[in-house]
Amino acid sequence: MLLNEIELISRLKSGDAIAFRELVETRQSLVFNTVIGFLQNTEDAEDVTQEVFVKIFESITQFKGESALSTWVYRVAVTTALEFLRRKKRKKRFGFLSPILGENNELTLELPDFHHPGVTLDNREKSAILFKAIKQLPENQQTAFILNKVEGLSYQEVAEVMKTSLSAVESLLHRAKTNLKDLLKNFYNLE
Amino acid sequence: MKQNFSSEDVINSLENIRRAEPQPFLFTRVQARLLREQSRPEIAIFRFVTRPIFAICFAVLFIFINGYLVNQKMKENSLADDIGQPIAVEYVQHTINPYEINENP
Repeated sequence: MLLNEIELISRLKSGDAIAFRELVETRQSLVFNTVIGFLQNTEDAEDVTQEVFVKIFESITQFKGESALSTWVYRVAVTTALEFLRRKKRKKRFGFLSPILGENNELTLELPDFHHPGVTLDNREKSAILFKAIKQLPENQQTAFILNKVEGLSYQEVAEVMKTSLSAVESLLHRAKTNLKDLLKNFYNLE
Repeated sequence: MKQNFSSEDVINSLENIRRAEPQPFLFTRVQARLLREQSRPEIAIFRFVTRPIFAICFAVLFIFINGYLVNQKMKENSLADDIGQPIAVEYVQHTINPYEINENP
C-alpha cells in the first residue's frame, strides 16, 4: 500500500527506512528513465540512479514541500545527470593530452549507438540517430526534450521541474526540434 | 550516408516509448552505497563542510572576527591618541605662533 505523500515526506525526514524503501521502489523507474535519457549508457545510468537516491536521502530535510515530491525527485535526477555529464566532459578534455604522447594521433569522436530499452523495434535505428543528435543540444533544450519525449511529461510538468514558465518550455521544445532537424540534415543527410 | 527516412521520422521515433527499468533490487544497492559513504570520514567531512548552513556560519564568524579585530585596532589608535594628546597640547602651548606675535605688537 502506498503511503500518503505528506506522511511519506514526514517519515522520510525522520529517517524512516521503510518510507525510504517505498520512495525508491515507487520512483526508481522515473529516475532511471530520466537519467538514461541524458547519459545514454545503462551502466552509468544505474550508477547515477543510485547517486540520486543517496542525494535524496541526505537532503530530504531540505525539501520544503513547495512542489510535489515527484517534481523534486525529477529535479534531483536531472541535476545529478547533468553534473555527471559535465564531469565526464572535463575528463575527456584532459584525455586529449594522451594522443600527443602516443603514436596514434587520430581521435575517435564517433559515439557508440545507444538503444533505449523502451523504444519499439521498428524505431530502434531512428531513435539511435536521434539520441546522438540530442547530445548536441544545449542543456536546457536537452532537459526539456528528454522530460517531454522520453519521460512523457506534459509541458506544464516540465515547466514545474525546470522551475520555468509554460511558454519558456514551449519555446525550448520548439528550438530543440529546430536544432535537431538541422543536426540531422547536416550529419545524416536527412530532409 | 543517405537514409531512407526523414528527420521528422527520426524526431518522432520516441513515440510509444516505454520507461526503461533499472536492474532488480535497486534498494539493496542504494542501501549498500549509503553505508559505504557514511563509513568514509572524508566524505562525511566534505558533505558537512559544503552544507549551506556551514558556509553561513563561517561567513558570520569571519565577519565577527574581522569586526572584533577592527574594533581592537580602533581602541589601540584611540589609546595612542589619549597618550599623545596631552603631549601635543603641551607642544602647542610652548610653540610660538608668529601670527600671534604680529597681532600684538
